[in-house]
Amino acid sequence: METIEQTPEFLALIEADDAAESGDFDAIDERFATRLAEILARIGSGAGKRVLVVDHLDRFQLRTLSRWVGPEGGVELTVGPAGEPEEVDQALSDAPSANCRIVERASAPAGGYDLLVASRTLYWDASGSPERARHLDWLGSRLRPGGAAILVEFDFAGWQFLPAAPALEALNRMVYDAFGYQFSAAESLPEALGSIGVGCSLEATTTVLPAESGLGRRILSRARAFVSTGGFPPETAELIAEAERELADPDRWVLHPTVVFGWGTSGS
Amino acid sequence: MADRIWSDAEDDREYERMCEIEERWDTAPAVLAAIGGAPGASALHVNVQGSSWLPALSRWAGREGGVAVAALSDDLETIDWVPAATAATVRRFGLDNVVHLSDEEAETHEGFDLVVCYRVLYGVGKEEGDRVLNRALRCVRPGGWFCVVEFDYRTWRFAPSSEPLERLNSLIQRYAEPAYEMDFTAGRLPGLFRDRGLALRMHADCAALQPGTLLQDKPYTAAAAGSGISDPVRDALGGDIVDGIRSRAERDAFDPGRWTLSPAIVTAFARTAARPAGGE
Repeated sequence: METIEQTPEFLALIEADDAAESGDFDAIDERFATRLAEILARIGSGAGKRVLVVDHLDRFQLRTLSRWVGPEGGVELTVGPAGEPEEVDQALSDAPSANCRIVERASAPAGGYDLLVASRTLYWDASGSPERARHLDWLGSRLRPGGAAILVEFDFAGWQFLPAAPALEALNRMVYDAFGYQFSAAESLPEALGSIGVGCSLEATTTVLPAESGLGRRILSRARAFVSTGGFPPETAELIAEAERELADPDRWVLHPTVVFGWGTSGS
Repeated sequence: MADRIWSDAEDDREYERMCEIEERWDTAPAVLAAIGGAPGASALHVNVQGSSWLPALSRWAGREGGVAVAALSDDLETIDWVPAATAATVRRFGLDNVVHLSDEEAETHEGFDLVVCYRVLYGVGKEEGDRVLNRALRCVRPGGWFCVVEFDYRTWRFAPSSEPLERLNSLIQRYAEPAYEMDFTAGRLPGLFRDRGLALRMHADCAALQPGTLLQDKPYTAAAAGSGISDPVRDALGGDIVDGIRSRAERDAFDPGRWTLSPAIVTAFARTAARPAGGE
């Protein structure tokens, strides 16, 4: 199956679904921010440090970074290779702080940052592609010698139902193919860190939720959006109906895609 | 670990490597925090693998409480190695409130505040799994906690990815599950709790394991001729095909730059009824 174009109508549908489900993800985001805090503690004291965040982080992770650098430090947010400026604006408005601000990508100084944090920026482009190489070159050039980097990516193979849900899993595969993104981008973290001259340590985590949560429903909302905008054939409705029955089972749970933090320090 | 647990030195080495992983892959503190502190409490750990839960349970029970380990199994090999593994873990961590109990001692206990079944379902069919869980559940005091921990192997991956290692994993899971009535997922847990009238809560986590752990080379070693677990794959596809994939996997299995994303560790837990249904 080939990648399907994401029309404005399609994007409007999934944005509306995401907005309706956003509260379901708070507990997940809070937990992953705890893991980020553990990694920051291992990197060392952040007091007075200058951090560049590429693409949006959820408000829990942003607050974690804000606390880490303290009042003398600064967290600067900028748009990533496939990000939208509005998303960065939203990230900051969700977690406003005196030491966090938005910077234009062109204004982020080379060699100017003690820590880079890039969340799901490898997900958009294939490993080995010129686009990813350009992104990593730019990212690595922002880091001062001896600075640290944290790249966060998902492995969507971790997104599994308990018990297995064949219709949901079949729909999920269709959705992956339609988007065409790098759903196993976490596997390339060692290579990506190496390419920017940063040593590699990995931390991974996941969580489990009732299947009826936003995490389970997201597969259906994406599939329905593709059907209603003509991306999936109408007969997909049968598979969606079966997936709805699976999702409605109160004894079904869902594992979050594996979240992998790749981090390390560059040579000074 | 100098302690001998198995009669075979290779099995001891594998056990030791599993212990090394479990120390970095520990979900017990999070689940025990959700259950709540209980100084002076009693816990029963059914089955024992490495060191994941026993140190945390020991701290949870405190000096006034205690932790027992029992096999709750009719399998002679299990009955033999569980006390040896318990003793090794007690020595390794200096645990002074953890003891091994015979199955009879555990099952005639007045009732534990918490019973943890650690990977008791993975290698057994539905009937045997039901039997072990029912025995364990009878060991919980009314109003106590029942907890079942299983791995979900579907999420086991590598970074960088390894097509031959992941192919071997996939084949072993696909063919060994029906042949040996194994379950490489944690998918049974919700239904098992529902069938026992228990309103479950769930916890899951995983870990990124640094290069060189047991789980990096396990698909390669498990797929070797004569390993047992790969026999159904060899019967179905032919040994030459499996050996071909194994040959391609060898470098990745021992690659010093390859991390392992562990299987998810899933824990289902519930508080039991304050008194048995229909009881006084």
